[in-house]
Amino acid sequence: MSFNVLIVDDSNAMRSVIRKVIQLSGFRMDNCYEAGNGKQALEVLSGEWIDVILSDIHMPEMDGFEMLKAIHQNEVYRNIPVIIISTEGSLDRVNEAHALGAKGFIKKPFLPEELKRILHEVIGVGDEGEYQADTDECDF
Amino acid sequence: MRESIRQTLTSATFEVFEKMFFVFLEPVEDGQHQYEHVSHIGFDGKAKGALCVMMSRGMTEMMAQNMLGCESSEMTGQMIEDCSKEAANMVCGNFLRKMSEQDVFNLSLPKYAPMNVAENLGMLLTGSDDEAVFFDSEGERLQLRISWQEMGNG
Repeated sequence: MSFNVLIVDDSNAMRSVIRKVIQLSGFRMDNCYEAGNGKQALEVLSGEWIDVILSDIHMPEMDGFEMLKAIHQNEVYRNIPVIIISTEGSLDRVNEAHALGAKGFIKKPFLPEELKRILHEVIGVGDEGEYQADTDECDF
Repeated sequence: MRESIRQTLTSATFEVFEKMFFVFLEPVEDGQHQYEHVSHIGFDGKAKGALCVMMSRGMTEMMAQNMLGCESSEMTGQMIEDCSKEAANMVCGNFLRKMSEQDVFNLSLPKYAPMNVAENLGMLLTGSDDEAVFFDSEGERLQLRISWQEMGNG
C-alpha cells in the first residue's frame, strides 16, 4: 500500500527536507502534495485523496491550528491524520494541537528518525509490505 | 540571567545547526566579520524580544547545500532566503523552549535581507543590553544577537 502525503509549510526548504526524509524513510509514497499555508492545503484536500498531512503551525494567511479546526469540522477530512511539525513546542501548544485533532507533534529541529517513528505510529502501518524501512537509521 | 541567555542561545544554535543543517559550529569570541545574509524574528510572551542571525556567504551556502542536498551551482537566492529564515525560526523556537517550556510565546514570521538592506530595515539588533554569540565552521562565520525583555505580571 502506498500513501498520498500533503506537506504544509510556508518554507520551501522545510517542505523539501520533510519530503526527502519521508522518501528516505522507506515509506511507499504515491504522491506528495505541497501547500504553503492552511488555505492552500484545504484547496489540495478538495481535489485530491490524502492519507496523511504534515503541517507547520506558524504560517501566513491560515495557520496550522486554523487548518486543523477546518479539517476537524469537515466530515470528509476529519479522519485524515495530521502531524504537526513546528518550532512552537510548549506544552500548551502541544496540548492545543492534540485537542484540535492532531495525531502527532514533532518539534523542530528534529532528527529524521523521529519523523519516521511518528509517521509509523500515526499511519498505523507496521505490517510487512506496508512499511519498507529496513533499518532504524535513515540514510540522510 | 545574561549568562543563562547566552548559554541557552548557544545550546539552541548548536542543536539546530547540527540536526537540520549538518553544520558543526565552534564558538569564537570575536564577532568582527563580513556578514552577508541576515534573518530576523520577533517573539512575545513571558518575555518580549527578537533574534537576529547574521551569516557569511559561505555559511549560508553550506547550510543550504546540506539542508537541501543541492550543489552550489544549483543554488538560488530563494534557497538562501528560505534557509536563513528557517534558521532564525528554529533557533528562536528552540531557544524559547529551553528558556521556558511551560510558557507560550508568539513568534512573528521570520524576515530575510542581505546585510546592506537589513540595516536600513532595522533588522540588526544593536541595543547595549542585547546578547551576542559568535560561531565559526570551516572558516565561515555566524553571529546571533538576541534582545530579551522580561514582561511584568501586571
